Amino acid sequence: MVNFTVDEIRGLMDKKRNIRNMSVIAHVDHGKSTLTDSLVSKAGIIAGAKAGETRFTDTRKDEQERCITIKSTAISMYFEVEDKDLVFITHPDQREKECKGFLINLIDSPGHVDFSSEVTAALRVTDGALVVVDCVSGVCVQTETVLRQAIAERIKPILFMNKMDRALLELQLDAEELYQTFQRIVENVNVIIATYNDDGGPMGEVRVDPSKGSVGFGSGLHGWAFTLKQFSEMYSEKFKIDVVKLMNRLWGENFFNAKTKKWQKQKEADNKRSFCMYILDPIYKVFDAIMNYKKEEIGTLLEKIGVTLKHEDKDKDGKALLKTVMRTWLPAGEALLQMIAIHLPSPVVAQKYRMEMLYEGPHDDEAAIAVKNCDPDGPLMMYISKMVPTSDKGRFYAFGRVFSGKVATGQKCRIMGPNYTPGKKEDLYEKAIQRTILMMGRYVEAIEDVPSGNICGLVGVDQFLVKTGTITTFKDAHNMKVMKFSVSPVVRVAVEPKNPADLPKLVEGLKRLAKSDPMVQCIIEESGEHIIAGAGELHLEICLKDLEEDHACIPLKKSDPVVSYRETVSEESNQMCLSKSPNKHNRLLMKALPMPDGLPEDIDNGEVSAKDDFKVRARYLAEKYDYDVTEARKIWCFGPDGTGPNFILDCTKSVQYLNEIKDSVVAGFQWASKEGILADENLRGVRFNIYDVTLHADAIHRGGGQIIPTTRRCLYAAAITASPRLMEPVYLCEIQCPEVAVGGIYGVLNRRRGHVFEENQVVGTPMFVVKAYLPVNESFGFTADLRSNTGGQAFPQCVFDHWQVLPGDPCEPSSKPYQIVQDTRKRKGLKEGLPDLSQYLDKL
Amino acid sequence: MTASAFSSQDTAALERQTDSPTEAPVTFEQIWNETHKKVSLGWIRQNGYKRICLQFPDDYLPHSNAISTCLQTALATEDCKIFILADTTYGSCCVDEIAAAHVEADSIIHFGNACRSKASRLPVLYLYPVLPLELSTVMQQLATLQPACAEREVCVYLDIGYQHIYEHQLAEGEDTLHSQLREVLRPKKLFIEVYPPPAEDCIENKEQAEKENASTAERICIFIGADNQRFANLSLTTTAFQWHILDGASGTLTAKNPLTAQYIRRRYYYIEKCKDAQTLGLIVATLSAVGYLDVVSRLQEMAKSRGIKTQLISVGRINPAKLANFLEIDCFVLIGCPFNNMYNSKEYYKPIVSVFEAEMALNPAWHMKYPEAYVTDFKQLLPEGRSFLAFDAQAVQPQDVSLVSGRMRGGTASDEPVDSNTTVATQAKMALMTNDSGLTFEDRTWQGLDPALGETEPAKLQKGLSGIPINYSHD
Repeated sequence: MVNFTVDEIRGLMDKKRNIRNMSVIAHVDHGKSTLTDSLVSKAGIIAGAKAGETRFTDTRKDEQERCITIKSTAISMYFEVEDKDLVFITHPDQREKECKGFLINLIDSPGHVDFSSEVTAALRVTDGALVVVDCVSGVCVQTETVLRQAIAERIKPILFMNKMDRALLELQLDAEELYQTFQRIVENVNVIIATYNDDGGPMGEVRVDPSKGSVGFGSGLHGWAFTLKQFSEMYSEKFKIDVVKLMNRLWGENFFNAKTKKWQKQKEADNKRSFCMYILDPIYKVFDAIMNYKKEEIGTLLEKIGVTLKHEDKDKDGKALLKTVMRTWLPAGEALLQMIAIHLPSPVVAQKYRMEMLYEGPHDDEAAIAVKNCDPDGPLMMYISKMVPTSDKGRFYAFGRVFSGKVATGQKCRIMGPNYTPGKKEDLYEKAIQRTILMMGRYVEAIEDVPSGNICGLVGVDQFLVKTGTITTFKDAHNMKVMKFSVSPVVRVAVEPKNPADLPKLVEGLKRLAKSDPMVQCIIEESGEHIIAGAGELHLEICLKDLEEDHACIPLKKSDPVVSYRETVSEESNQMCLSKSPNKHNRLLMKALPMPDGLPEDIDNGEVSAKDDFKVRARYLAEKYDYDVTEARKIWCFGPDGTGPNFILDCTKSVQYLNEIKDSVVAGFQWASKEGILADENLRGVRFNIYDVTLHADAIHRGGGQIIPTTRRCLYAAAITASPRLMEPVYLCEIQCPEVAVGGIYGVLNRRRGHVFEENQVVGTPMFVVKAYLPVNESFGFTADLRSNTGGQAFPQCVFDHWQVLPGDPCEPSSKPYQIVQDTRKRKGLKEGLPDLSQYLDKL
Repeated sequence: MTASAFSSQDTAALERQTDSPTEAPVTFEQIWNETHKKVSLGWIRQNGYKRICLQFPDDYLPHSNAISTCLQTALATEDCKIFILADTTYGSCCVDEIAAAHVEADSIIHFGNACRSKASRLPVLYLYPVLPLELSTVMQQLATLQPACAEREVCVYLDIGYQHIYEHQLAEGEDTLHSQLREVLRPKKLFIEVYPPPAEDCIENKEQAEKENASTAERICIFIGADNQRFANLSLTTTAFQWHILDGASGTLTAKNPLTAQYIRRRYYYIEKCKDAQTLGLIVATLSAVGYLDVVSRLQEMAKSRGIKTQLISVGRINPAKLANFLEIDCFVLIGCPFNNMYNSKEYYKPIVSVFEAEMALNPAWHMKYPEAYVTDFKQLLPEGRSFLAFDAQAVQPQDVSLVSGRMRGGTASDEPVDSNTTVATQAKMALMTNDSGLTFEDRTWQGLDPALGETEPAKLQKGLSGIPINYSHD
């Protein structure tokens, strides 16, 4: 039944110009998986009649039950493109000569915002993206998010307008209205593309354009689709116009006057828009005839469009007949295949401009050049973007893309985790690849080796990587850049086994869970809590279910979701804080002050980082945040973990032995910035200045033992005297709803301390988009609450946006932050109450 | 800058607040009575000891002189020398053989609470305090437990201070304490034990353990004594259905269970930390405990098989400042008397784990095993100990996800031979030894003075500092 063999695929893998690596991305419920079925069925993997219902790429049971994609799924397919279509591929690096076969590696991704880490992982290993937009709801929040990410990763998009059946059957839009809808969606998508892509950049122009054939229309559910190319081909003989030229005529402000047989550029009384006349009209007629049971008309129409019904389809009528007719007339697989083959880049083309985005090392070393040329004979460079569970419990396929060289079964490789630095041994393993495999949705196929430009899975690598990594044979290779996720794990639950003796199983299960999801964090906290942190409630729900059923296989107790807070300061310390070392021979003098707005975010985003050259960084800080340049040059370190959004700055003047204690002070600062004074939470946005240091003349009396605990005490004293505050995470929440429901949204948001900052009507639809900030802490149960208050008409999408200071003084026993601090302390098993300044501050 | 910046006022030492003792102060009568005197004199005379050390815990010191004089007078004829030992390095429960060796003592009399770790070098006589126990109140209190105890096995542990009651009972036969308790509680079976037990051979313990283990989890245990470190140790190491403390001084009964799932989960964090460590510091904090060298080599072997470096250190009494000097050590393992407790302090820069926890972290045999009870005495983890699990270096799987940092741990197990750190370095480096086994200083920014030989003018000799660091004479 399958139209191809593994050998055929393996053969094509060497024809790197005939490979297309692509992901399918969209807003939730816009029909990605359903549309993907069309291609899968064209490849013969599922029966044509089942396409649109199977959702072949939703491999998990819960994905099928809930009708939502949770994990991204890859599938490799072989297609042959007809000669007449091959001529449309003009770029020499886009196809091999004398080869009709194309290998399409497709990744279907989830649309729900909670799983957007899966999208990020999918985009990394592909070069092109099929952006699916539901033409009824138009461009939505997540459409924009994923498109933005795609452009940032230098992924070329093509657009598909899905659910045309709904527009025709449910909304009953007339042709011109439908055209306007399409036109608006194309414009919206192009606006987003233009915002994030520079046409003069290395990717060149990436706008989508129906008249070029990079926009498809159709219905994934019914399995039919077309681009202007299909219709242009039908009419080109009749009009005696070249196909390409005709495509241009079929879109935009082109009108045809049937009486005068003339093309016109303006709408006039007796002409008609070509798109409506030549494309939509026939479709409308077919719909009208079949849905209204106009038997005779159907016959003539079918003849006109050249569809002959098979014997077994003769008895069908209504929707079933419509489906059959449409998918015979305009098969979706064919249209999609052409869009992909013609408009998406081959690895040869894409890796040229993607290399500099992908490789951390110098752009002229052996690995960089091999990646740039997609050279199968160069050193192996492969990026592992995620782990896919195998049927063998606890083991995973490492899934990724070969960017250069060849990966083969039994090959000895260097496996480098994200913390590997060239020249060091940390996070580096030299191991042999046990097996290379081809991912086929729910099946896998063993394959001998895989050359550059392809996507594949590896067996035997999972135990050396947590989530992602680089695999290479080049000794001096640097890492491929780690992926940047658009969401953060801000919602947390604590789990514990119902039976305490199952604890080791839970720990094992958490480790497996950590691998199986690109984003989830599994942590044991000092308090003994086992924490799972995810992007949102749905994400956590799925993780917990996986943990309980697949990874740990034990009954669990789960806490209510909680958020983690950050500690910060709101003013400069009201006094110079002095702490003495345990031997009283060393004194440190420091103050804490808040960072200017925007700087912590700059540090988060890597605009300001520990890796920068200190002079460049100082200039940046001076220009943007008005820092004193000489002071800004003396940032000792960032923290916590050496990279966090706090730093300690040396403001001393000519202190003896200062450089000797730097390591100790840094260690103390890392400690104090990780476990803040209020509730043992991380610090955020705090700058510490060291003003003076008195040190003992003997090195032994100013060793780490004296300085580290003293630094910590001094930092705590500085924080306490600088009006400490708590920060909480805040979601950016976008809610789509009809106008009547807007009132209900405001009510729900008000009750949850949220506030609306934007409210827009989606042009051309009755839908409104409300944008609001909502504290994560208040977001639990928000979706359900919102639905019940709006009669199920409002759909929120929440994504972590920023940290916000919680109003109120945590040192004031009646305030809300005080309560939170006490609750957190209790949960962590710390002494309740407020920190006592006198414990940290010493007198001269 | 004045001199006072570096030296505190003299009066500060007098004004300093000391930690108030946790247990009620002892009276002279409790620690030194006629029996004590008789026993110790008999012991000294019988064995003919000449140089005897009296070791006191800090809170007994006020009475030390009186006791010493008393013995000295009694032994005046026998040419004996009596020494007082105090301020014991690690904990006053351990016998301080090192200090005794300073005065070439041939015997030690240990006063106060003892961990009864086996001494390896000198003969020791333990003299325990005699705490009064109002048996009638005890029985009254225990009577409330009767319904729960019926038809269960009950084990009554006596704190070390009540040893005399136990001995008394042994001497008198069945009818006193044992029968009274039996009367009150009416259990299926009754055991009475003193805690801590005297150091015995491990083999015996193992047999005993097997015998006990059968029913131990269903047992009700009662500890007569205060809620102190000894109770904590006992209840952590012994699984029981219920734990009760009967405070001997106040006569109140409370139910308590320190070995909760919460406690173990918290310790799991430190076990993870221990697995994460790239360098382990093995702190030897014991004076006499037998077997510590075996534990050290066992831990070293286990660490090595995972590619973890170890550093053996001994720093005397442990405090945060001392341990923070070892900046490159990621986690400490405390090898010491089981009655040490500094595992849960937050003051330490790097976590400290017990030998048992290190064993759980490093020995693959503990993988996926949940500890039924804690092991505070590291001897139990050695071969022939009751919690011994063989270590199989082949089973070690160093690659693992850390749940603390979220990273992969266990880098490439280095195949190249480790250089010994006793290589004498070349003259040019101006260092006597290279230290490349345990600590790596490569991540430090301060690498020491740069000799810059031949690049700078030699400095002229100058008069340096003189005096002691607390107060240099030039200041």
